[in-house]
Amino acid sequence: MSDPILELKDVAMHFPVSGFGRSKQVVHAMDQVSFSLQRGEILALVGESGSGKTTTAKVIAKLHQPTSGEIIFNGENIYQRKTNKRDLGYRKNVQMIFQDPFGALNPTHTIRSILERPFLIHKLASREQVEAKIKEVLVQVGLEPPEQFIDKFPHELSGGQLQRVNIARAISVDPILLLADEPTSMLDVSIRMIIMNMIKKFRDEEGISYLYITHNLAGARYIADRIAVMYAGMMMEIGPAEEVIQKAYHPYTKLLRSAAPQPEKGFQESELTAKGDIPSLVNPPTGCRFHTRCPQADAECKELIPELREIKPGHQVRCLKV
Amino acid sequence: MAENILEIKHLVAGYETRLGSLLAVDDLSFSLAKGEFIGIAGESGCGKSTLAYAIMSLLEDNGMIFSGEINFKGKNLVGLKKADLKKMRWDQMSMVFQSAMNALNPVLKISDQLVDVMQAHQKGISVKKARQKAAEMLELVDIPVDRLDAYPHQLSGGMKQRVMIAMAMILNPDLIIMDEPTTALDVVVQRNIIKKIEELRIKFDFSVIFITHDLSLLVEISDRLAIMYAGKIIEFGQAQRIYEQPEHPYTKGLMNSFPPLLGDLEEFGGIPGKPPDLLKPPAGCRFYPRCEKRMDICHQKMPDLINTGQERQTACYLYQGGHK
Amino acid sequence: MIKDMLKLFIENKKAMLGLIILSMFIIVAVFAPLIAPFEPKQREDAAGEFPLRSEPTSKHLLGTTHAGYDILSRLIYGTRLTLLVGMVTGIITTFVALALGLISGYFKGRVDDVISFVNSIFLVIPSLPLIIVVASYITIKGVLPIILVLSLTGWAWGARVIRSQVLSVSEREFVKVAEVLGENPFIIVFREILPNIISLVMATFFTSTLAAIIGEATLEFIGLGNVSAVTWGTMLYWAQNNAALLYNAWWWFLPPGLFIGLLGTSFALMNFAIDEISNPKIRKR
Repeated sequence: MSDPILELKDVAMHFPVSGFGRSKQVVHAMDQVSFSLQRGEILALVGESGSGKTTTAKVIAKLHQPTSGEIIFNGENIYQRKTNKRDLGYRKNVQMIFQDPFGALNPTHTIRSILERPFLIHKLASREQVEAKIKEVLVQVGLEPPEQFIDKFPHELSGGQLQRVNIARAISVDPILLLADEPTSMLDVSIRMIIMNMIKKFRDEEGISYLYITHNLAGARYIADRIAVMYAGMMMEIGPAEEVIQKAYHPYTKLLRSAAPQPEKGFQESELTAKGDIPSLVNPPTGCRFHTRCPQADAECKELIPELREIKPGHQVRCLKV
Repeated sequence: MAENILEIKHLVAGYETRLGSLLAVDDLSFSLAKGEFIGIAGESGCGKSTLAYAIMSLLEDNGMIFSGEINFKGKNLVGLKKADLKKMRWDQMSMVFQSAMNALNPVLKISDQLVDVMQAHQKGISVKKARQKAAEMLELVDIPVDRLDAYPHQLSGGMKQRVMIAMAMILNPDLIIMDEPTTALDVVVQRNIIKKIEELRIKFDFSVIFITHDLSLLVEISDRLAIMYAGKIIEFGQAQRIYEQPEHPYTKGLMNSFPPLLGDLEEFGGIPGKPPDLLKPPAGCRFYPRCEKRMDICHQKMPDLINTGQERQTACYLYQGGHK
Repeated sequence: MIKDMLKLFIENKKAMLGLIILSMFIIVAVFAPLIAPFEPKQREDAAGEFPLRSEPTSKHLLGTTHAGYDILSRLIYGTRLTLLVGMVTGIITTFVALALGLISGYFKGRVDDVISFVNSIFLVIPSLPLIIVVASYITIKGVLPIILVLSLTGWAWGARVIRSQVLSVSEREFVKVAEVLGENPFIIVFREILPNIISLVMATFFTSTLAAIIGEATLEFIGLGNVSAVTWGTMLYWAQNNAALLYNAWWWFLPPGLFIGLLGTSFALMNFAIDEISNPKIRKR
């Protein structure tokens, strides 16, 4: 394989617990997260809420500086590059699409004044050219004719249209990597596929790589080349999409799979049951983070933190029992 | 089938707004048998929540039932006095809300809230007895009895939702309406709750109206399924049959919006466009502007929901008069 | 969005009432020489000296003071300084509160620690005694020192409230998007955050103007202001000093008191209206 566009090596992100007193407690939002992403690849990051998947995206987007570990983009450690504080060079290459299409757009601005910023910040167009550029990206995301949308305020558009505007803003700087944080989960079901297909289209046509975050396994299978499963801040399994779904190794991946709705089967008892809840990340479980809920866990799992091991070429699993 | 516990006839309900009347539920009829699990699927703004609130007579101040009947156990609830309705609520029919986790009072213990519900409806029940019943109910929804005196913030989201289900069931109602009860929860938790509901329904034989936008979940768990679009039911029938052979173009589009977990991955498309503004609904079929198979007749008059097969109804001209 | 808010503001009954009262005072202040029968410091006219401590008569509708000034004229002219001090202090206070709130709410860190610390001190010290202490150390001539004293003691609440609002807005996703895009932090503050707290800024202006009007009246009333200035506060001061209450000269102390109350009410009403507009939970359908 060619050189990866993005590589995370043992990245950890610990947030201090806010509150009274001088407790040195931290939330272990990410621990030992390592993966890489090839150019033009879509990697789906799947997990439940609180699994650390959004934190992973934010760390890559330089919204949080990780506690430890390395993030290498295009061969350079993004936190050690000599650059100005805003790091425009990196920002032009890596953009993020957020979950809430309403929340990601400033309600006090028109679409025009929202979409002109990327061009002006990165000096991609002169003041005179901006309007033409905005119209161009609006057409690219299917908001046609652009004249009908350019002077609207966000509250005048539907959720699906707003998410298109968000995508338009992200692609307007011609990024290499897009971090998509559950971009369809707040949209109506009938337009989710349209947005997902659009994301795929930009990969196919522009070669944009994606880190696609979702909690929907079926959606991940549809869109992604590879799937990475996170649980309680750690990567549990990563491999080719079809393999992770059909031949999952990790008990947690199996659990997720059996919990997903399967209309084709009709209601039936799923073979796997999970006890308990997602553990607190202030005091994460010793050993394997999943052992508190795992049907296969034994004494060893409580003690040892399993390594992310390669089971097959390109398929890694973090479990002692595999 | 057993007798019908709920029969809704030509129900029109909605809201009075500054811009005129908004008919969120427009001429809707269906019935529900005892012990049956009906799923209502639709996107946001299709009127599915309004329907739920109308049945419970819990519409907000500016909401009202314009016409139609809601016959619950043979009695028309429309026009009933508030006091009588209040007696029926929780006692005979109850509801689990989407944001149920926030519906719990944060400063009261779980036990107190359960006991309150019981004392409000069963005059003279002693606190001790009520507590005992509350403990039983929590056990039914798999919450350890030692959590009885916990405050809501000490419970996880899934647990709170299960407490709400316990609260909805505590008076042994005949009908429970669930409005997106698992939407805010993770898949694993959702699965556990769905399993619990199914288990309890078989045990206590209550009917369920389950409302969600997640069609793949509904197909799996419902007996019959109603697909709503812009205030109307546009397709109705047995869940598996609708899944296997959707008739209405909207249903087909919805089915085409959920990629499967197993099996072939062809191209999935969704439905371009957006639902109509219910303040100014289109003259003909409400799906007309987004429909791939629209014909001339479609924009003249909304097609009726008519039988197209065994226990199967569709509101589409494609199935009325052989235009196929 | 901001246009919508203005429209809602004008449609709001409370806002309208407050605005009407305020405009009346502004008209009175601007056209004082035309409205008032005499000059504020006039004690005689062609007909001779004015009587001292006169009751209301057809010539002096609200009577005269112990020095023979026409009370109605003083009341009308007093509107000018009272409004001026109130609004200028309101503007300065709001500006300081906004600047500090934006800086400490968005940039956080050390700057925020320092500003928040000073802010807390000013919040804990009871403001009236502070005003008195500061005012008695500087000799007050003219209105500028009063404005400065009131501004110095008045910014803390606004800064605290604005800071917390800025903190919450800066967690919104559109601010994160701007950061990911590499937007200049100052542009983020003024372009992304500021328009979203406009209603709070307006509310801060209304409350601090209200506080300034009352603060000014208090200062003047207890004699720490410039007693020779013509304001409603000094009117009350002279009325009190000359035992107007004792011999029940209501025409002397009641009108300025009422006017202070009325002007305060107009700002309070507009403040309520802002609350109603920006908080959809109270907004009527």
